[in-house]
Amino acid sequence: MIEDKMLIWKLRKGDRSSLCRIYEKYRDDLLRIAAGLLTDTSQAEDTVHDAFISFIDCIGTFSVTGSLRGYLTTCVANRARNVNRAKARHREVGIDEIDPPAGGFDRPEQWLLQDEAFEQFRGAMAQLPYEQREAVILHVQGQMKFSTIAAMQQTSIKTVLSRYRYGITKLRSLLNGEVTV
Amino acid sequence: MRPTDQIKQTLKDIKVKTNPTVNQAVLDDLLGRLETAQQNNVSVKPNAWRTFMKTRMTKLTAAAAVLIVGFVIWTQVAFVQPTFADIVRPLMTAQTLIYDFITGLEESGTTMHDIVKGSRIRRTISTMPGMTMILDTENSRMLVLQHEKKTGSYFDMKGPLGLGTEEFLKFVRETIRQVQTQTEPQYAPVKLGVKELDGRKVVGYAAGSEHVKIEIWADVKTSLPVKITLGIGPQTTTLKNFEFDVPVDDALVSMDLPAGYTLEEAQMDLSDATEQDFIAGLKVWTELFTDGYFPESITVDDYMKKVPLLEGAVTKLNLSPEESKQLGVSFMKGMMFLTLFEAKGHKDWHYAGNGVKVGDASKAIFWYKPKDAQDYRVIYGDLRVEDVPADQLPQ
Repeated sequence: MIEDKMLIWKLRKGDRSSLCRIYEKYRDDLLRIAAGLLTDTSQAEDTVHDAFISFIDCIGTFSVTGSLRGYLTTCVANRARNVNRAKARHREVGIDEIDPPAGGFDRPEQWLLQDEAFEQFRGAMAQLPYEQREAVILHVQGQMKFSTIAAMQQTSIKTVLSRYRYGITKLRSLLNGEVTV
Repeated sequence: MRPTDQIKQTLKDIKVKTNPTVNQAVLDDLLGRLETAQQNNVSVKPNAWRTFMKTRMTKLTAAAAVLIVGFVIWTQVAFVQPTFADIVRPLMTAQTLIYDFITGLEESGTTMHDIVKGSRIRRTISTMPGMTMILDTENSRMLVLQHEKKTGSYFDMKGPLGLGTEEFLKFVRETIRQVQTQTEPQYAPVKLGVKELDGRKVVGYAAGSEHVKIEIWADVKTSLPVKITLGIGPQTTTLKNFEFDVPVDDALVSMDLPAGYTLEEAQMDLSDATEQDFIAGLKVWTELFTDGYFPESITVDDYMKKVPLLEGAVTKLNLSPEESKQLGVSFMKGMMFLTLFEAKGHKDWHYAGNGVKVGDASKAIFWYKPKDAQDYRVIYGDLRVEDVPADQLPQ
């Protein structure tokens, strides 16, 4: 936490190495969260990229009331939810494919390299309803409290707990020891 | 270890592997953006709005943006769905009304705060703290006050934008009446149940159709609305923080210039926006904000979020004041084309430009059916436009 505050302070003063450190520190965790939340890999990658861009955009006025991890995780979760909603809306109007947001940036190739265990994890996650998936991932991988998730999902803690338990139970039967890490 | 704990541990232990080349490319992109942000101070510097409001171009576009965004809801509700058009009638009797309305997602969208007294509206907007608008819907005029410079400008609101602002207010009032009475047969709301919202027990109703969805949560004791969410096509709008019949000082909605303020001349033709305006607006967007790619989406909220960034983006181009103004006007007219779309009788617009590079002649980025036309107008990535029969539209 203190390290993060120092990094933000230095970054505000234009220190490039602080941005490198923040990026290295949180990149993989955020990618893992995004990849769990979204079934489309390129959209998950864009979500993380966009979260970092948004962080840079607001660095001048950014104040860490909670943790930087929490802030970035929330950014990713919000963007993932927007993507998910947009997808649902596109389906409603009959557009099957949604191009990933480019944000004016062409990545040379795929960012996430997927191995068997990771594929199994994502495959299982994809079978959960979105709210359950979100509750499980944000709590277990994003280290978020249930109350925070409840605020994000605009529902009660009881509902989030229920979504989490259903999600974990379903994952248990889906994975059933198949994932080896 | 319990099975549940085992699953949790498994999830925690999942590792991601990343492509080092892409890691570096993304980092380079972020560092580049950091540098740009520091150079133009748009995002990094707090109170960027102060800088933004200093030029004529941005003042005009900001005022236009506020006017246009207030228009969008009524236009689309009234013209897309006749059933909803029926509910646009001035029946609410509150003398004063205060509310917030948020375009886009509730947690991240642009918030406008309206204080309504009679036919006057005092409007402020979250992204533009130095500016207040007084709208006189009866006489179709708007006074824009800039507090830091202590200046004021009058705008003519005649035409569809003025009408839209007036009708939007009627729509809000009528929606509220619907909740209170719950008797309108064509409104046919479905009860969503009771829940807690901001510490109050509220009851919810949903109504709508394929294109327009409305959700209303009202206090169970008073039947007064607490929150209204409108989903119109890709646009989401939330109305909340309602206050009724609170005393509002006449001075707050006065069209007279406040003491100590000087009058500034301002002209901007907002009477119409054409397909060519829309294309010009898109071109400005791609050049200023998305490095030659078409944006991810083009909702009104997307436009609104770009307005405060216009000044910083334009500064880099070293344009004359007149050129800057023209560029800002083009951008706003692009937004206006979409907001006037249904009112002008056009139909069925689709945007598919996300990720398409400007100049890509093979990809259609936008198509719509103009009023009374047989064929669709299709705009391609190279910004040419063709008439295309419905059965040959892009899939």
